[in-house]
Amino acid sequence: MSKRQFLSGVTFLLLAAAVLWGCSEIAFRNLRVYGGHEGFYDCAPGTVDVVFIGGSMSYAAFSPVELYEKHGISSYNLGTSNQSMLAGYIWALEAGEYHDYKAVVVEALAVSMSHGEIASDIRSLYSMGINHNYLKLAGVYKRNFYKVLFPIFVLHDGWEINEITFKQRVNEDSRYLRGYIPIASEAGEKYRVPLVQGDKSATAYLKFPYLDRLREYCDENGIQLILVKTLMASNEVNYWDDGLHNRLQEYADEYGIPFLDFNTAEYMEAAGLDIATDVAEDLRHMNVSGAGKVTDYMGKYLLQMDNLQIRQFENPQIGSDVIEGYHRIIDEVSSR
Amino acid sequence: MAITSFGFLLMVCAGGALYYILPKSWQWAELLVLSLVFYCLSAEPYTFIYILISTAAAYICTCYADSRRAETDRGRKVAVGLGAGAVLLNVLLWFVLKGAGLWMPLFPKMASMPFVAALGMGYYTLQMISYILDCYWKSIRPQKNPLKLLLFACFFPQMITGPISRYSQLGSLYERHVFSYENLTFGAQRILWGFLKKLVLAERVGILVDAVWSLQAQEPVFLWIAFLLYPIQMYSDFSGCMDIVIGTAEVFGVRLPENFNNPFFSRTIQEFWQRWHITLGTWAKDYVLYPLLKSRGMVRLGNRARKKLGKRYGKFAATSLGMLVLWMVLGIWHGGVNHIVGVSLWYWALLMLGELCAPGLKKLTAFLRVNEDSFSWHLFQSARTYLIYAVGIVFFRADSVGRGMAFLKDLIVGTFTGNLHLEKLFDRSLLQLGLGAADWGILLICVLLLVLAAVLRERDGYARRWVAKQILPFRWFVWLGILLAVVIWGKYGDEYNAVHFIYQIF
Amino acid sequence: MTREEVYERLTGVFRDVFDDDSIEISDETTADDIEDWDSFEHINLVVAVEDEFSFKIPMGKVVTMKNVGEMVDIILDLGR
Repeated sequence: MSKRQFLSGVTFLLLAAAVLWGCSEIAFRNLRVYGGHEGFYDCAPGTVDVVFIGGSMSYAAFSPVELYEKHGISSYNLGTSNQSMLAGYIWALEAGEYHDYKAVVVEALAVSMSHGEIASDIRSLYSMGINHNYLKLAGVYKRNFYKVLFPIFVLHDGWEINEITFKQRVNEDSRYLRGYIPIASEAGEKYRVPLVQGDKSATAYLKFPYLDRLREYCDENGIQLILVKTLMASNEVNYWDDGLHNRLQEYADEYGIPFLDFNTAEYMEAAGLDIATDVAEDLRHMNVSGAGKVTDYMGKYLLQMDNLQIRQFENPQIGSDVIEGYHRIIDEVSSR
Repeated sequence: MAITSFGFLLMVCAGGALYYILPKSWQWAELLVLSLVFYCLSAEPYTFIYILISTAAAYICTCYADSRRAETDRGRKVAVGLGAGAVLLNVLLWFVLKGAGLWMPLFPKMASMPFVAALGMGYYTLQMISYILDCYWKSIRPQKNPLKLLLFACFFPQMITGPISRYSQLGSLYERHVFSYENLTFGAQRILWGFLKKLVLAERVGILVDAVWSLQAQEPVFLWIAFLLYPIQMYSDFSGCMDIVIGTAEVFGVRLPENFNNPFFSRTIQEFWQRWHITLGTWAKDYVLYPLLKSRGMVRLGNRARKKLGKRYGKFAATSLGMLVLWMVLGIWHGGVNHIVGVSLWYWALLMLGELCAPGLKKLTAFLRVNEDSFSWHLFQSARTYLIYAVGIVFFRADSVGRGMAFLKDLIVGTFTGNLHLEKLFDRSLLQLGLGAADWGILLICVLLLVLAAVLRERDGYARRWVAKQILPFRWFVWLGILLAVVIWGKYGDEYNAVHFIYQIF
Repeated sequence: MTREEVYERLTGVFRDVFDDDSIEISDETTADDIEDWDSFEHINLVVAVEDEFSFKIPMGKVVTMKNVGEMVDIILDLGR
């Protein structure tokens, strides 16, 4: 093989890699509807005190702007669709590199999805770019590392090339929502029975490998870990019941982690929640009204914690224009 | 391990790199090791014992026949006995393990086959038989190194799907190979092209064909679509696979025989079988048809037929009998009664009919002043061949003869009773068959690409060589385009599907 | 047997097998030159040659012979 041939071969391979990478970028930008967190990197370093992680339950329930407006706490919601505990853990690590945050709130359904779907995990993390945290996925999905490097290999299935393919879609609302996604509909009167009934004998099986890692990371860095299960009305698709509640409670008790389950009568009452009006029509996510109540409750809860020093400071990035924009969006969604 | 999997590509890359680093005299040994690894990753490792048995039988009998001891009268008899025994052993092993579909119905008490067949048994068995016979016919000298013979039986790219190589064609397997940029790039390009055929085209057509076949009552126009597209699926699937296999071997500097030569350009069904699954056809011709027609009994039978029926029909009777046996063997090899009855008999009957009618048709075309060299006449002949082939493989697709017949009946009855409803082609009904509009577009583009490549090949030998003559930006555009098409449009992986999307909006 | 004799007898065989009295053969004649010489007729031809010269052509040679010249060589070789 001549030098020339070698060079042209290598150039071709590099070009192929670049083209595949470009495709991954375009496909990712077009495929995600929610859950891209490019906006997170616009936050000035050291200005986020609380991060929320978890699946769609998380981004539907915790509203950082609401939290700031009512309690002066600066936070960001890093929830993504189908976020597994693995992806949430990696987001927590990533956030730690930019912010000296004090508390991480985990939407507890993520615990039951330890890891396993490479497509979901790639989609949850891809907006951080291919950095050393993102590449932790390659260590988990060893045999499929090439899919982690070139997500087009997993994204191609659902991607059709059409008119939106090459349209740059920037989430303009991310500045106003900080990761939160409002939903307007209501579950309705039919649903008033809570999923968690207080049956102490029920048990379930849960694995905690990535929750363990997150806990250890929090211990090392003096971060308060808080488990929260948001209110749901149905367990047909996403499963939550006494068994899971008890198992997670057991884990929380073992390590002294606060666990707030809004499906229990205790927290439902404390936050003033009502399944019929505070859960969305899909019966799984909290709606705008529920999110407001849960966020408010979380603010109070965080501020009253003894060992937690959360700053209440004026964050120039959440100025009056942001709060105004936020309410405009909420009004728009609610009136739909 | 599927040859379309990433693991296979990785193995080829790593194996290829090692291949050219190792001392040249070790190269064949590395191929053997890779083949063993591939086998263990693809099948139950213990079934490799069948390959060992076949190889050992072939090795022992051919070495004996080549030795001094076989020079005496008695020795010659022993050698022939051993050879016949080895061939019989190969056939029997195959029949018991792989031909279960044929004898199982005779034993209704047996619920399932208690033994697992070896991987690629149909292919290596034929290779071994050809090796033994070639040695006995003195076309080749036997291989004295049993491990090298084993490599011939289980060389990994061709082991699962052929092509069925002759020992004399695979001399390059044991040669010393210097790294060649040409082999590497041509091999890689061929693999890529195979991926396009298999993952983008064949899998898509497969969705359509499956959709039509899985429904009971069907619009005749849909039946026509499945009927006309199934040959394309067969071709792109099988020949795509061959491209991957032959391309992989090329990376290692080994040239495998071609299995396809633009079959749909054939003008007659006879020509078709010389261009489709070529290595199987020539195998059957050389090791079944010729020995049979040359045998004393057949010659005597032919002479008698000639006396009774006259020269022309006597000869015809002899060849048609020989062909019947050949097609039966092919049918049995494909395994299954419907293949024997539906596919084999159909092609045999058509071939014989063609032979009988040839003189008459010749007079007819002369009378009608058909220009036999014109493009349109070629097109007509090719279309006719395509249809004949399509009818036969209906029985390849159907799980029973009855089901195949019912399919053809629905097709014909539906067409001629005025229920064709051609408007269904235009009113978006086609989208019910599992492919969206974009998929139909991709399918069409791929078929056009295949036609283009076939035309180039017919003219220049290899479409790749034509591309290689072009300027660099064009070349790279072509190969990057195919790469992207495979990556984006290929049907592989199932991590991500529409369900994820619907769910993700909440 | 001389080469000429073999050619004379072989031409007769060819004309008989392919039913064409105008066939002329030479060393370079291959299957491409005679329209009906396909894989079928090839074996018929071999059988007819065996019949004419009264010996058996080994299978290995049947598949490998490329033109009439080679066929004549084989015949001369076997007829010795």
